[in-house]
Amino acid sequence: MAELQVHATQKDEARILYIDGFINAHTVQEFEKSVQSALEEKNFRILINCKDLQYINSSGLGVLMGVIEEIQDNDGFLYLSNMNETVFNIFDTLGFTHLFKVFDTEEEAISSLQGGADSGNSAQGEG
Amino acid sequence: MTDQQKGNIMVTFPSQNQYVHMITMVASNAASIAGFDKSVAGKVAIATDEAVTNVIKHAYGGKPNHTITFKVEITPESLVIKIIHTGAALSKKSIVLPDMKKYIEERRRGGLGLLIMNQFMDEVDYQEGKQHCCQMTKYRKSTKTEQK
Repeated sequence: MAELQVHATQKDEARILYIDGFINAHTVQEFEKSVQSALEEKNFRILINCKDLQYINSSGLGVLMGVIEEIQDNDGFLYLSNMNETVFNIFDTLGFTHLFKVFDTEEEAISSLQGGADSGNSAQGEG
Repeated sequence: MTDQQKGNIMVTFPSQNQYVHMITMVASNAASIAGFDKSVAGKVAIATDEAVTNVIKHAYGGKPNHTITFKVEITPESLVIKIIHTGAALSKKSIVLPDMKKYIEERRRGGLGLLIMNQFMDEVDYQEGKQHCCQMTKYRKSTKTEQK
């Protein structure tokens, strides 16, 4: 089994990336490829579902920092959801929760796209 | 504190990124065995990942034919992680940790590894010698406020 698998779907005009595994220097290229693939297809509305993401290190954060400007320049967004505690801690500690909107669940993120309650950045990790 | 919460672990592995996850998991499990909660074990894992990745990338310049020794010491007071190598030493004087407010404002990329290690561990030290060592310590009575 691969150490990182990314499954992509389209829902409500957003590209949803399901990350399964861990993101570090060994696997970051696979992660970057999946994000870049969305941008190449002009999908600037991206939700990363972290339900099966064990952890992310600085190289993974670098991928997100590398694309956020292009996404914002194209009126898009990069949301994250379903973070476990370890993943949330790294985003929160570095202040990335001010740059990337974080939702407890994918449903909440989708709901915010549809004009529902905006509960972004309320996540505290799923433990 | 019981006798089961003391112990030493040592692993020597090649300077290749494919081994980093295994070491990260050893560090996380050692933290759990030492009695730290899941949140702290996750932080120890990430700090270890960053430290080992730095050694592979910077100390050994990405060359895969070197070795790294990873040690964990579980003591009554703390968990001590040591990453030992013979590559280029990191001078403590050369370390400048990024200001995250500016970092985010300027959309910078890279250079967060040392900051993460400092944020997630209580102490990070770099020792130069015949072999160089990055030593990271997490105390049972942490000097840092733990989040959930």
